[in-house]
Amino acid sequence: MDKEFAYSFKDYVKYGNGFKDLNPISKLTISLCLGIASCVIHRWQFGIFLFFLGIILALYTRVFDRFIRSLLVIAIPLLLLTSIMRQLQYGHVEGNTPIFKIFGWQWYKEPFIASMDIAWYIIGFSSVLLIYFLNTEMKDLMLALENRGVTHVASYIMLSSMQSIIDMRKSANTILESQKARGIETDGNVIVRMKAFFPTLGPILLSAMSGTEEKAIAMDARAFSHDGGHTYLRVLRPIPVWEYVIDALAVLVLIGSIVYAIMSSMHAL
Amino acid sequence: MSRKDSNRLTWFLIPIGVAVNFIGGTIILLLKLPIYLDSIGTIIVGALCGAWPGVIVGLISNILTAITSPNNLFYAPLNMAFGVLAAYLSKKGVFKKFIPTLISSLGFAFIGGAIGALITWALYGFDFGSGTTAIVVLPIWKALGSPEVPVTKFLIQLLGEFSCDLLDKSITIIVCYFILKAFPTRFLSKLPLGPIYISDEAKALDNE
Amino acid sequence: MSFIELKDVSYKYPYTKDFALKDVNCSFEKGKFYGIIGENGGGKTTLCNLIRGLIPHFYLGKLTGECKIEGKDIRDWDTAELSSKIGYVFQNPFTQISGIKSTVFEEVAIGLENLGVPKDEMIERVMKVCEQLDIGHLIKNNPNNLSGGQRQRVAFASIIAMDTDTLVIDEPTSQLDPEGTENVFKIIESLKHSNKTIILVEHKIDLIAQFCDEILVMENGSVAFSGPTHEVLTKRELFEHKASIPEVSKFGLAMEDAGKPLSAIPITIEEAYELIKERG
Repeated sequence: MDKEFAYSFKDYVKYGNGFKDLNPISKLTISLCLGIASCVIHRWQFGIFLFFLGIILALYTRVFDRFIRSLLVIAIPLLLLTSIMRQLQYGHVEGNTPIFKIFGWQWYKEPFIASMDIAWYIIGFSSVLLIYFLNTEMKDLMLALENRGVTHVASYIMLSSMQSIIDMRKSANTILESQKARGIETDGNVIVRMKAFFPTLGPILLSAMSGTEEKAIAMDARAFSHDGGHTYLRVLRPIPVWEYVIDALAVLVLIGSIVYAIMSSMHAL
Repeated sequence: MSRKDSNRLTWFLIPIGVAVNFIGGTIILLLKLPIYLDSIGTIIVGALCGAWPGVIVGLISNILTAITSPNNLFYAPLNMAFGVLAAYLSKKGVFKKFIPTLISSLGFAFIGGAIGALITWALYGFDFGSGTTAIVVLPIWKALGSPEVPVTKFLIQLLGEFSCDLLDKSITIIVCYFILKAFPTRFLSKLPLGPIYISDEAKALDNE
Repeated sequence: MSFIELKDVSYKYPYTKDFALKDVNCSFEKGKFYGIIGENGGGKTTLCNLIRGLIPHFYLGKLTGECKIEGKDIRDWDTAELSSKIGYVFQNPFTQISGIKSTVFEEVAIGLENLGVPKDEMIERVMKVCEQLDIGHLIKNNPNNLSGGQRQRVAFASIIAMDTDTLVIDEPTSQLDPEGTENVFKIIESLKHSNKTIILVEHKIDLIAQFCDEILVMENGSVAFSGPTHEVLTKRELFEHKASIPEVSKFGLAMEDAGKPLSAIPITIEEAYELIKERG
C-alpha cells in the first residue's frame, strides 16, 4: 500500500499554485465581485481588462488552452452577432458618425460602441468565472461551504450530480452502440433519428432513477443521516489574512462599480 | 414514520435529474436532432418531488453548464421556473392524461419565452439579443416598420422565443409523460408527489 | 440475551397484495454467524431490511408484531443511530459506491467522516481495513472506474471500517464473476473470526455450511426451518422441500436411503472426507 499517499491526507489540501490554493470561497468572492462589477459598469474597457486579467491568470495556473477554447466559443458569436444586430437596427439613425465600411456596408460609431459594451461586459464576466471554474475542484468548494455550515447533503447532491452525468453518458454511448449493432437506425432523417431517441433515453433513465433507492440505502448504511458532528479526511488550508485583504479589495471594486454606475446614470439624466 | 425519512429519496433523485438534463442534450447531439431537450430532468423531479427539488435540479444544471460557458448562469431562472411549474401541474394531476400534458407544453414554452425574453432583454441592454432567435425576430421587427416603441420590440422578442421553444417543450413534455407512466409503484410510493401516479388498482390493494 | 428479537412479525410493502413477511419468529444472538437461505421472493431481503430499520423507516407499508433491537422496538430507533450499530452490504456493487469521492481511500473513509471520527484515527482505520481486505493497491484509484468485484470489496471496506457490532450481508456475490466471488468469500471468512454478529444471505450453500453457526430457511415470507447449521442442513424435510442443501449432505442422505448410512450426515467436504475415512 502507498503509505505516503495515505498520510498525505494529514496535510492540508494543496496544489502548489498561489491562485489555485486560495480558499474556494475567497476565490469565488473575487470572481463574482469582478464578474458582477463587469455587468454593472457595462463598458467594453472593463470587459477587456477582465479578459486580459483572465489570460494572465490562465497562463499562471496553466489552464490557458481550456480557457481560451471555452472563451472563444462564447466571445466570437457574441461579438459578431451583437455588433451586426446593432448596425442593422440603429446604423442609419440620423446624427450617427460613420466609422468604416465592410464590403460597402457603412458602419456607424455609436451603435458599434454600444454593441462592444454589451459583448465585452459579458466576455469579461465569463472570463473571471471561467478562471474560477478551471481552478477550483467542485469538491473543494463544497468542502469549504460545509466548513461554513452548509449541510453535507448539499455536497452530496452537487458532487453526485457531476458523477451521474459521467456515468449516464457512458451508458448512453453503450446503448446507442448496441442499438446500431442491433440494426436500429440512428442515422437518416429527423423522424428516424427521433425514433431512436426514445429507446435510448428510456432505459437509461428508468434504471438510473430506480437505482436511487439502493443508493439511498447504501448511503444510509454509511451513516449519511447521522447528525452528531462530521469530520473530514481532506482539510482546507486555514485562510491567511492577506487572502481576506484580496477579498476585501474585490468587494471594494464591486462597490466602486456600483457607485460609478449610479453616478453615470445620474449624469445622463 | 416521519416525513423526513419518506422524503429522503428526493435527495438522491436530484442528481439523477441533473444528469438527465444533460443526457437529453447529449443524445440529441449524437442523433443530430434540431432541439435541446435539456429540461426533462427538471420537469420529472419537479413532478415527482415538488417545486423545491425541481428548482434545485434546474439551478445545479445551469451551474454545471456554466463551468464551460459562464453566461448560462444568467438563464438559470428559466430552468428553475420549469421545476416550479412542473410541480404545480403535477399536483393538479395534469400529467396523468396525455392531452392535458400536451397542452401544458404551451405553459412551459410561455415561461421559456417570457422569462427567456426578459433575461435576454436585460442582458442585451433592453434590446434584441444575439442568439438564433434574434435572426428570426429582427426581420419581423423590420417588416412591421416598427417605430421606437420598446414594448412592441419586447413582444416580438417574446413571441419569437415562445415559438422557438414550443417544439422543444412539446417533445420534452411528451418524453416526461411516458417516463412518469413507466415508473414502478414501489418507486413512486417513496416520493412526495409519487402517489399521484400510482394506479387505482394498486391503491385499492393497499386498503385491503 | 438476544441482540435482535422478532415476535409474530408480519409486513406488507405499500401498494402490494401479499405479505412479504408472515408471522416471523426468530432471534439473533451477539457474536454468532447466521445464514439465511431460501428461494427468491421468500422474504430474505425483506428480513434484512427490517433488521436494518429500513422497514418501517424507509419503506412504508404495514408492519405488525414485535421487532426489538437491543430491547428497543425498531419503530423507536433512529435510522442514523442504527447505521452506526448495524452495517449493511448488498448485491449491487455499482449503487454501493457513493459517487462523490475521487479515490478509494476517501471512499472507504466516508462512513467514518459521517460518524465524526477524528482524522488521524480515520486514516489509521482506513489503512488497516484496506490492508485487511487486500485493496491496498487500489487506494489511489477512482472508485467510479473499478470493476464490479473491486467495487464490492470497497463497499465491504467502507462498512467494515465503521466497525459496527453487527453486519447484515445480503447476497454479496450474486452479481460478481468467479474471481470477485472468491475475493468476497475471503472477506467473509475473515469476518468469521472477528467476534461480530453476522447475518449473511447467500445462495451458495457450501459457503453457508462452512461459516455459519445457525441457519434460517425462509419460505413464502415465513421461517420454515431454523437452528444450528448442522442440524438444519441435514434435515430430510429440507431436502424434500427442494431447498438447496450441500451436495455432500444429499450424498449422505442418499447413502441412508440405500441402507448404507454414514455415522452422520456431512455438510462440508472435510466432514464427508472424515466420515468416509472412518468407515474405511
